[in-house]
Amino acid sequence: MLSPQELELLTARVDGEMTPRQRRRVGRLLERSREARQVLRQLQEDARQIRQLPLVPAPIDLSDSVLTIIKRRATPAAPRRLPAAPPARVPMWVGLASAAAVLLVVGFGSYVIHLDENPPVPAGPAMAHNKNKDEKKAPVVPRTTPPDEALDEDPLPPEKIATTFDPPPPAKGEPDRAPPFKDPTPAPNPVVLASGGNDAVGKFESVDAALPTVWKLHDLDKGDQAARLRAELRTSSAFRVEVLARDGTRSFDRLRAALQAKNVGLTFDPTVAGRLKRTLWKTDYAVYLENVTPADVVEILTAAGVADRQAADKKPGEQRFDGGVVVKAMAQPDRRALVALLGLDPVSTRPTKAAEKPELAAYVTWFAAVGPKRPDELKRYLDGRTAEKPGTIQVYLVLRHLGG
Amino acid sequence: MTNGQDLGTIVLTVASKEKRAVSADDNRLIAECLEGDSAAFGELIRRYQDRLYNTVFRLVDNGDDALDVVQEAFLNAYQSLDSFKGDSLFFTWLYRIAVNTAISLKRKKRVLARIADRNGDMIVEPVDPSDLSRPGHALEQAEEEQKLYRALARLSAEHRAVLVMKELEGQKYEEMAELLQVPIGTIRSRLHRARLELRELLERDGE
Repeated sequence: MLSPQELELLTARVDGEMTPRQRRRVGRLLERSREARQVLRQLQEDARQIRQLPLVPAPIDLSDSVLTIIKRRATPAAPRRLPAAPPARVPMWVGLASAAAVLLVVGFGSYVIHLDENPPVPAGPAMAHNKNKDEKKAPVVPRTTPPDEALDEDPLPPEKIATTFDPPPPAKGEPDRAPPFKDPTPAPNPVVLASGGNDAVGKFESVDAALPTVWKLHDLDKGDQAARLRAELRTSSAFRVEVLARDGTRSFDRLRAALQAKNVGLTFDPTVAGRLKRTLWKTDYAVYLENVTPADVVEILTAAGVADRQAADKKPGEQRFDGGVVVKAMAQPDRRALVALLGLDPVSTRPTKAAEKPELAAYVTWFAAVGPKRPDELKRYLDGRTAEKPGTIQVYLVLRHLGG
Repeated sequence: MTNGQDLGTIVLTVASKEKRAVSADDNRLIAECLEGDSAAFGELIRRYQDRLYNTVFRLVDNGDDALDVVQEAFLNAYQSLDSFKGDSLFFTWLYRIAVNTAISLKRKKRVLARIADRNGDMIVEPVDPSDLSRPGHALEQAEEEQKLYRALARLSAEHRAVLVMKELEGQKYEEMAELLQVPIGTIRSRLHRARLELRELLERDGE
């Protein structure tokens, strides 16, 4: 029977990190003890087996999902430490006057730009006007986006940015700076800058922007909520619907029941099944469905909300949804998110194959399941897509886990 | 003709030159990322995700958790990128974050597995060691490998970590001690106990 010290020598031998003294002691031990030789062989074989375990590469390319989360959290890398600004060489009042002049010019410049922007987009009830109510067309980029998507918004092209600001020349003794920026845009008409009684300023125009609307999931069956939400869902052809949940995974069960009650066939990303077993893990789910009527969508949400409310009435801990539903016409960032999730933009790539029988189908995935490797389930779902049906919409539904 | 000693020196020289080249390139990407170029961080992810995933996968129980841990490690690394001093390889630094995250996860799961909800039902399903024996759809597992997986799954987080770091990453006591922020003596004794425990588990499984 080997002593604890002898066993330590043997494991150190397997580790390959021994002092010269230890090496000598192990040598003597192995010479005299058959048991020591046997144990050493077994330990070395165990180590060899571990080393020979097959390399398991990441099943998906994590770079997209990580960068998406980084953007979503809008937490930039720590900024580099900038050198301290040189001391001011001009009197403060000159700087203030220059700043005021810049603000005035930029403010009027921005106003002038808005006058020849894109045609107005369908608006939510928060906006006063909805010019294109009767016109169902492909969703256009809204004028404003929620703050958490501001980073994704395409910047205005340089030719739209009007500025006449030139930085002051370097003060005496200061190193030369880069040449001042020369904006190729012609300077605004100086008449525009005049204040009061100048007809050249022009009329103000209303701007329609798709702002999100917020609904109470648990109250959709009350009053005219459902009717109003149906009307909202008729204002565009594609929507992002964000359902806030205390527990993304446990609330997905309610949503799944509501979807299946409407005979929506669900296809799952293969990794979602694993997530659905882990109820304590933070998971945001994404459900994409199309060729669904506004009424269907409202019925699905209402059913999920009513089920949740009734369960919570019996036992408060059973409330799984947080209660809020945010509805917004799909915007470019949403379409980019769908490209990441589905591998294509479903809004711009509608198939022409007509459905043989009316069927609703949805694809369920989650936000880390992104990357170039398309699972078979996704391919099957995409191959099963059919042409757009009149009166239906596309829905990118996000089940957002809030926790708590 | 070169003798073994010279060949060893040449190999070491080439390896350390490659190491320096990788390190310089990593530092360039890190600098670009700190300048605001998040695509540079994407390049770092693609460079190390497979190696990191492989290690983490051996530390946790299944692929989903490994994905979570690796993703979390990259996110944490991004958050604290400005604190990376460059005195170690970027992968070493990243590896430390990932291993610690994996160990924390394993510890948490052991605790959670014992928690019951108010009705006395288990909130979290017990870990099924067979999850580990089929880590991917396409991998075929020999019986010996299955046994090894089962045994590794039964080791504590700390024991599994040192075995994986030693055998898969080829790390020395000193490196592991620095990564795990414990004394070298602790590493030595953990490895010792881990090897004996693994041996015992494999013997029991063979009966």
